Amino acid sequence: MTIHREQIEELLELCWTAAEDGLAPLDRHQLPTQLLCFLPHPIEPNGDVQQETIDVMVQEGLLLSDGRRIRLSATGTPQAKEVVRRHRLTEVLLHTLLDISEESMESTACQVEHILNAEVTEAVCTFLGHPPICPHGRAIPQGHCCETSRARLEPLIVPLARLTIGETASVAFVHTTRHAYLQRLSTLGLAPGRPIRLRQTQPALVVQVGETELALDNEAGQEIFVRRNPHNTPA
Amino acid sequence: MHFVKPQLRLTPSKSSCTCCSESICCSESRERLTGLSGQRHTPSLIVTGNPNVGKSVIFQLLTGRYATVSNYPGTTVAVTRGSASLDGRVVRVYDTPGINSLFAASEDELVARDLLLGERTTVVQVSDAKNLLRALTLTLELAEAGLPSVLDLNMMDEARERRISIDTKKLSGLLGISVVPTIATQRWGIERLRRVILQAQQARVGVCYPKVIEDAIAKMVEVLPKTLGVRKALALFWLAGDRNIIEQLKKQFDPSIIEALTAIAAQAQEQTSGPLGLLISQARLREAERLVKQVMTTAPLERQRWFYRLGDWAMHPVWGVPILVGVLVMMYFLVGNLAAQRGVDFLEDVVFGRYLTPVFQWVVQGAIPWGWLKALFIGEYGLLTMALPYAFAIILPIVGMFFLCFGLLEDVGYLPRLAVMANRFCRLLGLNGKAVLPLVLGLGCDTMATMTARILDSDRDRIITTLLLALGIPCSAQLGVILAMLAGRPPLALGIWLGVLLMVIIVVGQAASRILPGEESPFLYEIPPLRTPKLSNVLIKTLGRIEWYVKEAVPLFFLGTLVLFLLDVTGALAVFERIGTPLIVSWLGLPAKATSAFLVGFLRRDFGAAGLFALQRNGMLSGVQTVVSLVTITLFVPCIAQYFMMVKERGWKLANLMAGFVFGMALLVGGLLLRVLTLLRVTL
Repeated sequence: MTIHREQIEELLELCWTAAEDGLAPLDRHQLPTQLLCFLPHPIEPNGDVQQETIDVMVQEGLLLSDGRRIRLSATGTPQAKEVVRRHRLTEVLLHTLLDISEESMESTACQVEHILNAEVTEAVCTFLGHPPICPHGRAIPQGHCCETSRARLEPLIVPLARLTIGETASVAFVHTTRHAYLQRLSTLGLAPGRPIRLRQTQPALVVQVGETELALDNEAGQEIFVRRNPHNTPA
Repeated sequence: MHFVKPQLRLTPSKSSCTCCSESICCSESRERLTGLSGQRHTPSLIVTGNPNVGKSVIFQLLTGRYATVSNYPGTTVAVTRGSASLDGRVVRVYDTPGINSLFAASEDELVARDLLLGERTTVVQVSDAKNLLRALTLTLELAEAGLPSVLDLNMMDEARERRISIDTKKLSGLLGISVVPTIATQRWGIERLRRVILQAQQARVGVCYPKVIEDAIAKMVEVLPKTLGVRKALALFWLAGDRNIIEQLKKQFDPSIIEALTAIAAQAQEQTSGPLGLLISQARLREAERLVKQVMTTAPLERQRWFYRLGDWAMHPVWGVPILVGVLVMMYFLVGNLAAQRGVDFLEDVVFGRYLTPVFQWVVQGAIPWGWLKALFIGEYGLLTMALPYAFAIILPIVGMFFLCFGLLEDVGYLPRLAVMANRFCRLLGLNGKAVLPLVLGLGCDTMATMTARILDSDRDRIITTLLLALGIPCSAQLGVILAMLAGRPPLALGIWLGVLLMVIIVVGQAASRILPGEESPFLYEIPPLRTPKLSNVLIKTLGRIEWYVKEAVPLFFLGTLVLFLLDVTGALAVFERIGTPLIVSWLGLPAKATSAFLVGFLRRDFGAAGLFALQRNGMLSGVQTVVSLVTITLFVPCIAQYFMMVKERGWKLANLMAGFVFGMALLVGGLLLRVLTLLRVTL
């Protein structure tokens, strides 16, 4: 029977997470299955497939095996780190930005972690501003992109209200359920890609979009997401 | 004159008919939209464009007719008509409310849209040169609707000030229509505009929509009857979900066509995540951006003008407050003090009291032998002794001064900033900051304000605003009298009056906003730059409004007085007074004589207040009685003119419901206040 790449990645992730919780090395016959992903291919706890997968991983040198005890090898660790990073970045993306429920966030992240390539992962990480932790509070392993831009902790895409007064940014997207409102914003020139400057936040939000000055309610400050101008970001 | 061939000719929607019936302000220039569609062969011209770009000034220059011009979006709430002579031909010209898109959001936008789509016409699109992007998105829509047009780049002076330069020749080439730079306030470029209007053409630009949209359009165009010239525009309206257009099409077309269109739209929607309307408007915006990049350059600005910064201060959370207070104090001084006290005193005591009234009395005494007819003119409820001085000596100076102040603030561009400052307060009333404009205008004239409620974004907001105007916003005439009455009392009296009033409108606003269906509409308002006021503009505007007052409101004063006179002669007044007296005397604790003031209050609120004023002058009202009577009369029923405006805007049922509610509320609050004040042994 063939072993899915996904199953290997799931186990890598499991080992990483277990190590974080101080559970390494693991007993290969008693894996902490509560740490496993459930979708799309639920791994049968302690099933045959899993044992086969572990065997393959030991052969490939991803795991070190000592009797029943297994732990990540030097080759396995960076790979596990990447999977975990992808998983947790996806969670941040779904949860913080798109406001998706925790349940579907979990299951989607479990799927997405297997399909993101390195380039997209870096882009997502940069987009989110190299977040240090996932919504569950676990640390997101740092990638190459994080190291090169360690100075910047603020995310690149933020709600409009997070800008400092006078700061210039460009509109990334508008996340609102008020469709008619969205359309009116767009006819006034407030649409993705357009430059925007925050003029004031009290007593109402005032922004400048192009040559148009608009007064908005404070809710709009949470609904309009902007991409900060990297050179403009206050340290 | 050049016209495109087959035009979309949809019957104007219901709401636009009610908006534009004749007797709105400057009534003679208003036209029912239904009347328009029939006249096919008169050449006509529509002046349109984004809000606050100077459409009305251009209209004025083209026609020589005055249309209310002001520096805040939403002034032209109905269509103004005039005629211009171009190349020796008389052309009918319409001035429309400002629109950002043909996809209409508010009622005034709907008026403009229906006019544009309902008439074979040429369009002069006036635009703000410094805001080319938004102008061009509208140009693209006009082109899609198949309207021949000319683009007027107005406010070139402001654009230059901001170091914006536009290659008009190139733009004209790209669009395939004439592009004329103008500075309307200096009449610069107007002649050139006049010359090119007759060569208006349909712009040769197309928007590249996402594939989903393009496919859907292609399918819809197939389905729509071939006789329609603007099938693509219709398809776009449908896809964008324009309910008004969809309703109209449903009435006109076969159910099979409607079904097919609905299916195509639904299918397109399934293929995308966002609303289709958004995809459409964003595609237009992209195309407009592409055009702007090719023709516009902006040099960096070294320093901002102080005036520009003043505009920011006017809505600053801290500096905005003293500015607001300053504006209010100025208005109080001019309206409440100068006009309401000195102006009124002079006109009433000197002009009327010393000169006119004696003359009238002498003439009538000599010329009319019958006693009852004498009384009609110079009796207690005489037309010459009551209606005339009230209309011209008491109300006119107050209203006139208010209009002048309001016009000045409008012209400077302060009003939208006021909306920003007032957003919080309006939230308390279940409204958003935009509603402050009708409310403030209501302090001038509630009738006009009721009409202006149209600039608001939802029916819910319009209803709440109309109700609050009828209930708790005293008009300038009434306010003048009220302030004069309170001036002689300790400040606590003013405080109680104001406090009770605020409490009532907040409670009622909150309750109404909870009861009425629909959500609070989001606050979204464009802020125009602050401009130095043009005095001639302000004066013309004020005169126009005074003219409106004299034509629309003054006849109602005479009518009201006449009704009173008849009630008096026939003895009905005595009967009403007898019926009303227990209520006034025992529930409100006022002298029996006050009954007639309240009765007159039915006809005009300020008449009522003026009646109370007279009582107070004669020493017939104590401090507490003054406050109770003033609170009651302020909350009391709307005046006749306002009531009719409510009927026109909101329908009989709702208007009657509101009037009844207001009546009950006024008596309830007045009576309760009396009891509370008595209980607390307050002396004023």
